[in-house]
Amino acid sequence: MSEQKPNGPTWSVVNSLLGLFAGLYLGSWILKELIYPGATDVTAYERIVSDFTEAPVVFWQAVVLLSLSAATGFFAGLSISLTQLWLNERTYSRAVREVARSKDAFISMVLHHIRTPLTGIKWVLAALGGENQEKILTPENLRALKLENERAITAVNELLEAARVSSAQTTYQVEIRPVPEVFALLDEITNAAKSLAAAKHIVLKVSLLPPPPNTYIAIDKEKLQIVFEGLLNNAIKYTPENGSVSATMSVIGHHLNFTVADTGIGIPPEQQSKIFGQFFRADNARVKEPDGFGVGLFIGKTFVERMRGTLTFTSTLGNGTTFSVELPLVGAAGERFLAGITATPVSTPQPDTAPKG
Amino acid sequence: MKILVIEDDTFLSSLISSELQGAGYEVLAAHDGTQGLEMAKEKPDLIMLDLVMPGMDGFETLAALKADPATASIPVVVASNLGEAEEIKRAKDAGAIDFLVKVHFTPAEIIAKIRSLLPGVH
Repeated sequence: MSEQKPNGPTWSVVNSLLGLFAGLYLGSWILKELIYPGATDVTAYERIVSDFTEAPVVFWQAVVLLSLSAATGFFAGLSISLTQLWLNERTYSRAVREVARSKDAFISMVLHHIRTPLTGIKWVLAALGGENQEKILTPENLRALKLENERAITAVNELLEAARVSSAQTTYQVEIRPVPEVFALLDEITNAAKSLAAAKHIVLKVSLLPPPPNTYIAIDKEKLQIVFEGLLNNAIKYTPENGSVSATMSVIGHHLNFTVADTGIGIPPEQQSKIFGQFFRADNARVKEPDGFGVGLFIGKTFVERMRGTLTFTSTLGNGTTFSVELPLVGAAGERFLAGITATPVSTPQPDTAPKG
Repeated sequence: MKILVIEDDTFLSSLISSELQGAGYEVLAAHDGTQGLEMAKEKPDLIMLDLVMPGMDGFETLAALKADPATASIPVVVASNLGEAEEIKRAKDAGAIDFLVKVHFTPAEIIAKIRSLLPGVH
């Protein structure tokens, strides 16, 4: 937590001393300018008051007045600091409570997200050997069981990936690939997403403009697949039934462009600046799809930027969102590739780095 | 004996519904809070309510059930994969008679729990 507790005692002492000196100054000003105007020395003061007393009245009056004004200043300063401290403490406690609440809500949602598919698995397995075995262990339920299993694994992997990305422990296998390979990758991904879209009666339009010959790009193909799948699945997830999702890929100038536009719920304007934040989910996304960690866009943006690309979006609440990925092209030998990424020519065999287990 | 299951996860809903039917209960299945409130008008003997659902969530559904004199007396058992102390307290304060963390129970155990909550009605 980055919240720092204010340094109260130092602040109070400084304010009280300032108050004390201000009081002393004010007291002496009152004494000199208002009570004994024109008096320049003690003798003059004595002459003024000698009419009603023989005591050294001026001295004691000065002492009392200065003491009172100094004390008033001191306590005023102290009160200001204590009020400030109280306000700071209140703000700090509120921030601490807010962080604690967010943490509890996040843990609760993680547990829910992982427990739900595990519940399905447990309930099906519980039927083994029971009276209801035949009714529960149907081919349809077994297929659903497989999906639940995948869902649990995906949930755990998403969390692990988010943790790796946020601690900069992700390893990248950036390679120089022919651009048509990326087009083929997107083709596969959109084909796989068709059933997901069809289940919601969403029209999935795919437009792949053929790339110019001999164009190359430096990418981590596995990571790029995660980005494309994530954006496409999000578009389908947050688009109501009978909506549409369009995926396009083209080469424009020295960049490869991928956009996915949906007619979905959109992102509230006041939350758009936070959308790439880790564990952030827009309010309307939470209501529509309560399950989710809010890590997909955070991971996606990190991956794309690691490949020297950009991930941006435009969105209108209630009308839809368009996400765009732009990646720089490189020459065949990678000579135009920006510095900072270790890229390996495509002809070099690469070890299989897909996560296992 | 009629049970209304308000559960957005269609797989879990179908599994628990099959088990409840196998145990002799009549089952009404709703997949969100709004549908659940509508079906509650059919006066089920017990409502099994999920909490995390799209649209109207379980807490809102529970509040609406308890606010309507026609459904306020129907016992509600929350069956959710949430389960932090604060969530359990919130559900019970809102009128749930019990809180089951789904992953901790098999369908048979849930049915046993329902039987214990509705003594004399099988």
